[in-house]
Amino acid sequence: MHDEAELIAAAAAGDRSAFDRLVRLKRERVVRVACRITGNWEDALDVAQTVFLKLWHGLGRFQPGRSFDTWLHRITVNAAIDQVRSSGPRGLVQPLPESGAADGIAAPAAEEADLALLASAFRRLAHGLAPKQRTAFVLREIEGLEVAEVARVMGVAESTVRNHLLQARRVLRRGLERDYPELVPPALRGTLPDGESS
Amino acid sequence: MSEHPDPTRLGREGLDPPERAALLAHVARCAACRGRLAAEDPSLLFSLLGLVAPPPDALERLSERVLAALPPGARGPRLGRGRLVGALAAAIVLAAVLAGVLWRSGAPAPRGGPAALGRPADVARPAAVGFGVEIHAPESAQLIDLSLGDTQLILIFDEGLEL
Repeated sequence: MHDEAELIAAAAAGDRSAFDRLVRLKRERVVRVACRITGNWEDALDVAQTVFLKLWHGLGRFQPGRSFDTWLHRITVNAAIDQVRSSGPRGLVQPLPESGAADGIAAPAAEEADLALLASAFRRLAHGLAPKQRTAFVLREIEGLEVAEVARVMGVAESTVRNHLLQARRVLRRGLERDYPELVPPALRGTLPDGESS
Repeated sequence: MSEHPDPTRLGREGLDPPERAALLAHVARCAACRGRLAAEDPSLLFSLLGLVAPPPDALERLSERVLAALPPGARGPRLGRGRLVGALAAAIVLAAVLAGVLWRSGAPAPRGGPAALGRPADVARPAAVGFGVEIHAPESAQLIDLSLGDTQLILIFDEGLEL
């Protein structure tokens, strides 16, 4: 089994088989991040294809010792934001499906989280976020990256990331309370966060 | 030790990936912990989306599409900016050396003292030596085109070239 650094070096030297294995290693995360930013799997797959082709052409410039994942995340985020911007009204205004069927998520058993409902809610509410707020939220809260890593991926200061996160959480909380009250504990309903008024 | 982990740790930093994955898996199965997480901040419920994987057939299709879209032929490492500048500098030095050789081959050997260094009118000299450098950068190759009077030297750095 090749380790990741060996795969990267071999792919950078033009080894297609190594590149294919590298794609297989990274594709799930790339597609997942792209999907949470673009809002659907189809656009995410287009973004991922663009990302991996850019990777193929750019691997020769990758400097060993740097974080490959940070670099890959940055390419992914930039391509996904470009996709959101280029899709214009289609991506931002068109009503989004309420069902989670498009996510291929099975119905939950009792006690289990309704991931389809959560995916649908996020897809809908994330349209109220600026692309950078959405990106910061996806990388930090969904992908679990540390704030410092998110800042490196986005090429901004950590304080800027924290500010994007604050704004994103506020918009999402208000959206959940307004449109998905069943997901908000009764004690919190009717209370607006951070002293905001409606 | 409590049977339930603290779900609000999902909203904080310092969880390593395996710990986070285990905590997410628990919260996804446990309504009480989801309630605690939502009470901390309902937007943190979206962290559970980290458990949602793309459809497997979509990932296979992606791999096929990526491989099909790769340009044909082998690919060597692409010239980085630093290496391109280095190649250009080497080419300019080479061009200067060649220019010097051409110049000397057309001039008589110096005789006597400094006064003899002047060039006699009857000695054939190369026509004025023009010197130019052009860099072409198409998608898969860099070309450096050096012209020295009638002599032209073209350096090709082509990542798609198979030898």
